[in-house]
Amino acid sequence: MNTILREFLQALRVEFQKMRRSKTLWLTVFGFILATGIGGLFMFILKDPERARQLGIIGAKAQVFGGSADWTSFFNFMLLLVSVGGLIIFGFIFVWIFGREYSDKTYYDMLSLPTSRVTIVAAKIFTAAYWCMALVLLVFALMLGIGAALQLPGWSAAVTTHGMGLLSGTGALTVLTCIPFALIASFTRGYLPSVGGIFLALVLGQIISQIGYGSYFPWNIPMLYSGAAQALSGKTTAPLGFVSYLLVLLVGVISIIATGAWWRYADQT
Amino acid sequence: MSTSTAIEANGITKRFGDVLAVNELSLNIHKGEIYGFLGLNGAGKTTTIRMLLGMIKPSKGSVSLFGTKVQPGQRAVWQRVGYMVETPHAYPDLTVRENLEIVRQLRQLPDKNIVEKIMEQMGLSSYANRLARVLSLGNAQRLGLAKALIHHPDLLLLDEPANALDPAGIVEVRNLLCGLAENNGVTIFISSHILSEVARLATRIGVVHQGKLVKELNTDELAEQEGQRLVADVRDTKAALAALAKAGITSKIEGERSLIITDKLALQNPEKIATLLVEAGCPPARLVVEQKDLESYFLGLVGANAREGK
Repeated sequence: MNTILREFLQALRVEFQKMRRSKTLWLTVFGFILATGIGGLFMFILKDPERARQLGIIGAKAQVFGGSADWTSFFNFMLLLVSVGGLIIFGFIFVWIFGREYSDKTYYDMLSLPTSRVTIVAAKIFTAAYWCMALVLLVFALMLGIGAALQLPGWSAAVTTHGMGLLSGTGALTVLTCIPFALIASFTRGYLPSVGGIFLALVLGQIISQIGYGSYFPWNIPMLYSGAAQALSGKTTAPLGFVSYLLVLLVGVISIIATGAWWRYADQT
Repeated sequence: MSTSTAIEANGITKRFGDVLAVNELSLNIHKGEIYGFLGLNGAGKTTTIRMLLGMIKPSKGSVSLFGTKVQPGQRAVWQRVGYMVETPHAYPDLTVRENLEIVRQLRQLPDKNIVEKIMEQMGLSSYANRLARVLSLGNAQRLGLAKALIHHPDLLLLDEPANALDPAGIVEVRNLLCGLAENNGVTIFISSHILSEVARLATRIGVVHQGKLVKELNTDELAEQEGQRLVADVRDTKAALAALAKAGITSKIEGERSLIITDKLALQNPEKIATLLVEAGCPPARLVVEQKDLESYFLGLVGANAREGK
């Protein structure tokens, strides 16, 4: 086997072991199960308007966001969750994977090894991306179960395939926009500033959307790509152009290179 | 560079903004040596170790280990180096065994039994399945040393390895390191702020102060610094020196008024020295047998104002 690949796979095994044994993994799984369950609850309420009225404010909110109880609405709701909630949860996963090494001071053990620092960074980013996409798959699997249990109308192979494609695409775009938080966590040697960065991205996204440049702000693009917000609010927006996707790709690629360079060249005090 | 050189640092300097942490420090440490790197807290020991390990890039100068220049991307040399920087840390949610397994994999060691062997060697076998976060400080230190030793390195760089260990643990670590140097020819670079601890272990000592290497001593020179001396304060040191010399007693002048005598007979009979000086017309204002120790020697080297950083 190629030496670089063997080295990468060993580093990957290490990162997977750390992921499996962390409480953060189970917290994120619980968070996404809860969110999908809430989505299912909305569908349950919307399916029975009488019950929705009896529930008062929850029913009213479900009506505002959901519209109708069918597979398309359920997908739109979950797409909104993956794009907005994903920025927070996926962002935290990247922050945790890198920031913990500094807060636990275990990064010293990774600096003077036969395995290169860049390989370790690559294994960390791959693990974070895998973790995030596994959560997207979990959402999809739960949705299928909940939707089938609720006997939601409008199921077809085409709707499911389209929904799964959008979920995966939204997840992948969100993952790319979360890689900069790994760089911030490395640069600032901990969690807090990078968690602040996640919330700053959310706030800036809202402001930039209001002034009409949302499709050029990388952290807004996963949500715009999913089309969920537009579908749920009934508003239509212009489809995303090539530049929007390029911006997301650049944010991801530049962050990977910068994180690798930072680990390789910066003073690790 | 000689093939027998394990560590060579050429005028390494590290500046953090306005702070000069290490200043033109040069080291040449031979294979098989145990080099004690001694300094007060903040003297530049940890920064030096990090430069030796390639964690920090020197602002000036260079480091070579076994003839290989330490620089980004240079990895092969780390197969021969084990290290422990500052207080050892481990993944708190992983067990002792899992923490060592991680090191084994990142060090690309094919022998899976090596984890069990190092746990046995370091007395960690009974803690193998214990989470690192519940380990006592002493056992956490053992785990740190186990990580540094797992691959049987040719060079060990240890930053204050005796910290947090109880007296039995300190003796155990000392014996372990001595054994590694004597039996396996491992070169050991060990930093400490406790001279007596380093003196028991090292074959050579470097004293660092305010980022500069102020003194290097071998074991013989170090031994000279221990023992007793007779101090006689007199008005006329030259006359007193001559009077003692006439009686066959060697002494030396220290400061303006003190004569230092290390002659064994004089130390056993200080009253005879007093008589001699009185008869020579140089009565001593003070005559005292002082116990020399390494700590006072060390403090003398780094200066009375060391802690004030003056």
